[in-house]
Amino acid sequence: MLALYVHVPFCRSKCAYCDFFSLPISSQTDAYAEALIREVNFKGSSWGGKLDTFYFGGGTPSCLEPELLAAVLNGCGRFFSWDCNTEFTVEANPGTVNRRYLEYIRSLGVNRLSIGLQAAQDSHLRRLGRGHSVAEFSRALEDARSAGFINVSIDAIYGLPEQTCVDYMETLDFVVSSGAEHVSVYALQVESDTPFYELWSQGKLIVPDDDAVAEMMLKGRDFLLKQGYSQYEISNFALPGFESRHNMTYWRNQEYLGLGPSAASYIGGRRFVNIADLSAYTTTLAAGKLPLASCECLDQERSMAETVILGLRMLNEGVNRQTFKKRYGVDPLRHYQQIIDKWCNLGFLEFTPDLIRLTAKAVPVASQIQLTFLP
Amino acid sequence: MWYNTLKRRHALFYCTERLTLQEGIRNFCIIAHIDHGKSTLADRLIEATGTLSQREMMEQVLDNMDLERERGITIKLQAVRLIYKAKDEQEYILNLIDTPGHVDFSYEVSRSLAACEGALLVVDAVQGIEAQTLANVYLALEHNLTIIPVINKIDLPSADPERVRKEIEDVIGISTDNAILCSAKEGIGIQEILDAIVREIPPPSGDAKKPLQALVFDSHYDPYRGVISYVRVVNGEIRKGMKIRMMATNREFEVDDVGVFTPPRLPIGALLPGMVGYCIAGIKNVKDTRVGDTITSSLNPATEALPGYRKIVPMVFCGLYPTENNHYDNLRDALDKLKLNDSSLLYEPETSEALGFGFRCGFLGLLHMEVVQERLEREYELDLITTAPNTLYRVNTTEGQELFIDNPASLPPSNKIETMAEPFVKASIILPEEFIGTMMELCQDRRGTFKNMEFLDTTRVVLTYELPLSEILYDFFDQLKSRSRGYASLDYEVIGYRDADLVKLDILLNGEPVDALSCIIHSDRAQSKGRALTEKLRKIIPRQMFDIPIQAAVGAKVIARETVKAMRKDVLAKCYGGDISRKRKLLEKQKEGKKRMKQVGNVEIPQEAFMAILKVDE
Repeated sequence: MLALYVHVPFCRSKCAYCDFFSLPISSQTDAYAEALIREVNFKGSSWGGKLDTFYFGGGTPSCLEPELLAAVLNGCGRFFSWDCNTEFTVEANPGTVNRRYLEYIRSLGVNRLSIGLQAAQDSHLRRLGRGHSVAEFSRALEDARSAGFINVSIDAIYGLPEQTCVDYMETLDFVVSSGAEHVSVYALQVESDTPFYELWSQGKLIVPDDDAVAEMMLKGRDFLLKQGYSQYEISNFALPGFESRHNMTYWRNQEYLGLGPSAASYIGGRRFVNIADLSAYTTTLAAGKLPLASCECLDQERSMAETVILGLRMLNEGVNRQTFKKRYGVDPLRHYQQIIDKWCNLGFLEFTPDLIRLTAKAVPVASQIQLTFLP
Repeated sequence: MWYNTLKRRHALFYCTERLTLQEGIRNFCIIAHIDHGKSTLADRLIEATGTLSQREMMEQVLDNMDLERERGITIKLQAVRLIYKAKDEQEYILNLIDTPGHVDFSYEVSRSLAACEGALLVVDAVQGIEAQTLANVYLALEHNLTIIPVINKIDLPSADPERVRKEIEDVIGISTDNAILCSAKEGIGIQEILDAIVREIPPPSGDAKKPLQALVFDSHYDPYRGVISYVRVVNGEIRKGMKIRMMATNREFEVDDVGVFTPPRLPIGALLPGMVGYCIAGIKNVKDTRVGDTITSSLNPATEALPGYRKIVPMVFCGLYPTENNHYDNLRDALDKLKLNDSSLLYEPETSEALGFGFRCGFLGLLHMEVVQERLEREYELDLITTAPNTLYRVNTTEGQELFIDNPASLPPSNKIETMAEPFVKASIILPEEFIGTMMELCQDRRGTFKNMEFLDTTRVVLTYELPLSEILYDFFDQLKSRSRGYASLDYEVIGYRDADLVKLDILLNGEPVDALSCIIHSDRAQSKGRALTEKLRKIIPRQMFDIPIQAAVGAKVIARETVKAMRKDVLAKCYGGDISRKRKLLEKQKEGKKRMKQVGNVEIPQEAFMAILKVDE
């Protein structure tokens, strides 16, 4: 059983805060689809099989023409198989989808939609350069429901410029009353090479300070928990049974295969990242080579550290002691005894005979704990 | 090309062989305030005598340490030999021995003065005499040196050579009839200076037939050749192959090589009385040679050593610690080697609970401290933590003992202290009249006692104050400069110990005292210093996983308190496309940043915290 990720590097317009690899939608989509199919042929022959999860991320996968999506899926189908038990997600942005499109992709086997809302106020959406309104989001969600999607995830961001805690709670309230089965919430990071960074470094973008952001994080969490969601991962909340299996693959440090420019893979103990450049990606593949930007082979210490660091993001499941032992031949409690003792004494970690996980108070400062496990 | 240069230098040397006669030698140094143009003048002298061709000249040849070039100061002594054909058609060897200009290095100045018979006193035609110049001239007069006044920068529109001439006569009390008007930058007056050196500075006395006595006025360590001693021969001669004895340590060595500075080392067979040069004798251990020592011959030793230097006691102390504990040995080796160049540097091992193993080091002053620290970091690639400097305190205990305390951590408990005293200095500040008010305010503020005020001319005054040395350590110099728009200059000398009401101010982090953050201060200042210091530390110490109380305490009494609030938020964001390597690398970078901090209990302290006291505004 395999997790497959496909990166679709196109958007109708680039959001002001986004530093992921994406390009304005253009005629290059054909070349992209063609190259992607080449990559599938390459990788599929070694690593094909039945998919547990299938994920189209971006960019905005929903702005790929239906015919191209069908062609890509057709290509994938030569090596990979999926059915109604496969968690098949497509990320979609309001304004790029309509009911017909959604019905069509539903018929191709897509059973989970991840819709980017980010904020429930048009003023914030405009500042973010989202290119859609709150009303358009509502229409998209309605269409998704009519098209038969019963598993919908909604993204929201906190710590936005000029966002108050009240704004953010309003957003979450809106998300919950929309009936989302799954909610992803992220703190805004002003990343370099984004328009936000430009503004921020000129002092023209005022973001809430850490204390204000922490307050949003905690209030937001309390609210979602009260509404029946569980925080199964630092940034992800779900109603029972709607946890994203694809995400869990990452946090459990299990293997996955990535396709498309800038996509990452973790397979056979190695991490690969593809080139984040569409024309380099297509020409390399056309020349019969894998479009790799980097590749690293992890030694056991690093790999163990990653397993802990990622596992700690899962607030219920944590790092499973038996699984870890089976994988590395080492008991994590013993191997990291000093570090774990220190954090347990300070009340940031807890462990049971089966698992190690963060305590509630550790969640907002998780990085500080995670980094101590690095070799 | 190299070969040709070398050949030319040899030719220069051999054609002037006859001038190794003492009558043909002049040993001199240049006394000048920073920025008064000493280095430029030295460059012109080198150029004018053709010692180096223009192409070979790097700007300011003498300041050859990076640090010196950057700061425009001279720290380390240098020597260079100039060959000059005078008006009488004779060729003379002029040995220029460089002197540092800063007050901290008056010790070094006294070393170069001891190797000279004369000095050029360079004074800026705009700015006039400055405090350090004054101090150094007096030192030169004490050594009976012939002084040739040189008024530099006469090309500047605001130059006022007549005023400066009068100032030199009034303040120093030497005649300026023979003063030379010069612009080193424009090359004006250079010939006159060279002629004056030959005409007015006496040739060295000394007897080649007497047993060897050579003064080691400096040395440095060369990784290939061992110790290179800079010497001035007074009597006898020093030859390649001869057996020598260091009179202070009684260690004996065989001379591998002797020669002169052109400025690159040029081997010659022997150094005769009056000559200045270098001596290499396979000395590997830095402790076997000492600056100020006398070299004599093993076979025919002199009965007496030459008078040594004025011994200067370091008055400023701080702890130096390697950031990483396993670099302790490297730090010790580096200090050993620096000590060779800098005999005024003191150090002994010490241990701090907060910082681990390191050294308590003694310096001549703050600049000296900074220079040593920077050299350790640059030349020896060490990463250091420096604790805040303090002076040497005298404590009389209730048991009748007298102790000298160079580290606040080793101060006895207050109930064991009968009295405490701290070093005081006599400070001379030269400044334009309009800044008198603000400067007096600064000195009063720093517990100073007004002693005297004297007009140098119609616009400039010398203010004399007695001040605790410790008050000068904390940003006094910066204040002096900023309050006088850069015009004031300072010189000071330690005048002795005075009783003072002093207390130890401790800093507690998370309830635990941090030894390396303690300081000794006047009790009147404890409250305000404590408040300022805790506030500063709150800004310097990054937020951590829990609240960290910062307390300032005198004895058991807490006098100030601040809190570093716990970190509220630090989460890595979404993991699009599963690029986990990137996320891990971000964490690794964060972890790397933490390594530079010191862990005291559960608290991580950045290095700059240990110097925080220098930067507080009360």
